[in-house]
Amino acid sequence: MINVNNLFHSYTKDDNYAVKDVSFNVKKGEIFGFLGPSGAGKSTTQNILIGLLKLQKGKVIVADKEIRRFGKELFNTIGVSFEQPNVYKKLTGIENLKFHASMYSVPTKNPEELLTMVGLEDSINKRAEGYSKGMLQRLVFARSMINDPSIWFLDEPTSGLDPTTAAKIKEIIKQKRSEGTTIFMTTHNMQIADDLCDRIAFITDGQISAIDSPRNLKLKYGQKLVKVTQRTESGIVEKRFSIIDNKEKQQLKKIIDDNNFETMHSQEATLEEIFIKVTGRRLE
Amino acid sequence: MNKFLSLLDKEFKLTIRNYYLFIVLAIALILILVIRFVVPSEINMEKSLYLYPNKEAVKTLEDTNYQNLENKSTVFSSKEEVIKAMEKDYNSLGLILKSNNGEAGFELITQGYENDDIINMAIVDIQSYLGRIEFDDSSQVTILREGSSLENIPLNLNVVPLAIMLESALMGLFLISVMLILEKDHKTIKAFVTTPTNVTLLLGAKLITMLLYSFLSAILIVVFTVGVNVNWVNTLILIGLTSIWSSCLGLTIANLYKSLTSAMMPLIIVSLLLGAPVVSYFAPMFAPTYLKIMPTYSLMLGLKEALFVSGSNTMFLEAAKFSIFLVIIFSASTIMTKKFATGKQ
Repeated sequence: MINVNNLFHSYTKDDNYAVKDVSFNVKKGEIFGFLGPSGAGKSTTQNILIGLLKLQKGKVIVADKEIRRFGKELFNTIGVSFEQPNVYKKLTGIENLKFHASMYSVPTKNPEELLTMVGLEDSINKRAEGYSKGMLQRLVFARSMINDPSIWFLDEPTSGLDPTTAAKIKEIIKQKRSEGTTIFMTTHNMQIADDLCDRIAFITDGQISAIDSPRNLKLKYGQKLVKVTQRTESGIVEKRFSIIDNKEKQQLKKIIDDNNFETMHSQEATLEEIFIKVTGRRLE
Repeated sequence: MNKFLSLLDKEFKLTIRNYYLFIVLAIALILILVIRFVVPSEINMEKSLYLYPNKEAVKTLEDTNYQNLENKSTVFSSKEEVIKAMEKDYNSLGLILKSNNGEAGFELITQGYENDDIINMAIVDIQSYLGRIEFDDSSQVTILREGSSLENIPLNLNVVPLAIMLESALMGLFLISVMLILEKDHKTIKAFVTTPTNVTLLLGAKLITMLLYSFLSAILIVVFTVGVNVNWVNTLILIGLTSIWSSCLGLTIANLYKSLTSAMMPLIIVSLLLGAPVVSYFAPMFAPTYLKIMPTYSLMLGLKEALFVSGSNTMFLEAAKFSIFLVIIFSASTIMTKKFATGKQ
């Protein structure tokens, strides 16, 4: 559904690139995570894909059509959920969605159903200026579904949400994937990326460092470890042993043979640890 | 069409909930009250004349209009009394009639603030009463531009063309800039451009909203000051064109700036330039080219023609042609700069 090849973009129109030689593809019905710290090039890439930034160099295909050839009809097939709460604050929740729905040339979803879906059913007729940050975020999220998009761009979809609401939003995203929606998600939240994404790309300084499924990235870059807890005179002690390093493997074998442990679990590296390992950068 | 109606509905809801309609109505009400009750319908420009007539001098004026002069003056019995009275009345002149070897002469006493033109006109006037200047039927006055005289229009109503033109122009300029800059500031325009609707339609809806508010304001002011007996077609055409070009100008400026603070200075400068021809409106003899090329100059005169039914269309046509030209120029500039508003680069 999305094919990006050798994408470059410079705001200053020189060799100072915000996005440099970026290539990736997103398959139909896939959730693709674009992970990187602020200023890494996530928004620039997304803005090119949704037609907000003009394509300067490279090839971008969205919904099987080159982005240069797309007119306004592109926006009938995509939905965009912004991180900023960019709604009309003087309009109510339902008025915001109804207005947005009227801007499309395709059949749209029922605004009330969408607001109920994101838990705003009690604030349908309340002006958005009276919404909390989390409620505004959910309103923006609901608005992005109004045209039932086949390609859905999500920018930090759970930012500012409490765990229960975030879980509800994640469920909606998973449900959309099961219905065949292609999802491109930019985030710096490794947990949501790990929970939701089929594949992820790490981006720093405008360049992609790695693309794969979270599992493969962990297998490829993470150490295979076993976490062991032992009771000693000084109390409970926790130790990690690599099952690749021979010396540590022998130590672990001895503990098992001696039955000198309380608990033993295999452990994989977190995505955040892998991101740091691959890019040499933290996500903040 | 449905999209445009939705956009209009949104603009009306936003402008009403942001109190813009209230502001428009409040300004119209203030202008109506000022025109009706504060600005006088006429200003008395005539000065009091305090006269001390020397009896010997009066005897030599039997065959003149002197008696008419005395009738419209306050007569005193000495020069000192004249001066004393003048000291109490700043809007007065003193005239002392003197006898010089059997002929009448005079001494004009002024307050000191009068310029040479006023003094010379007073001297000519006095001399005509004293039989020194004769006017006969061969004297004739020809008016070059019919309808440009303010003479027959009450002073307070003369303010109406100025009020409705400036309100329409400045409202278009300022309110629409604020509307667009707020959309940019709140990033709602970024959400809008990810829909299949063209930004031109959004700008058009804002423009139509301003146009309707301009009509509402102008109709209220005209009805409650001048009345209903005006050339409504010409009046509304000029108000409409003014609203459109000023809104386009406002959109162009708002397109170029990210915040209201940064846009404020150019908006104020443009407003001052648009308001400058007011000087020529009230002092028609002062109409240099740099004021005449301001669109507001011909608009004020065109509106005066339309409101006070002078039977002439000269200024209306000039103003309408100029406004259509501006509508084309400023709409083009709005379309050319709209990419800044959407964040496209």
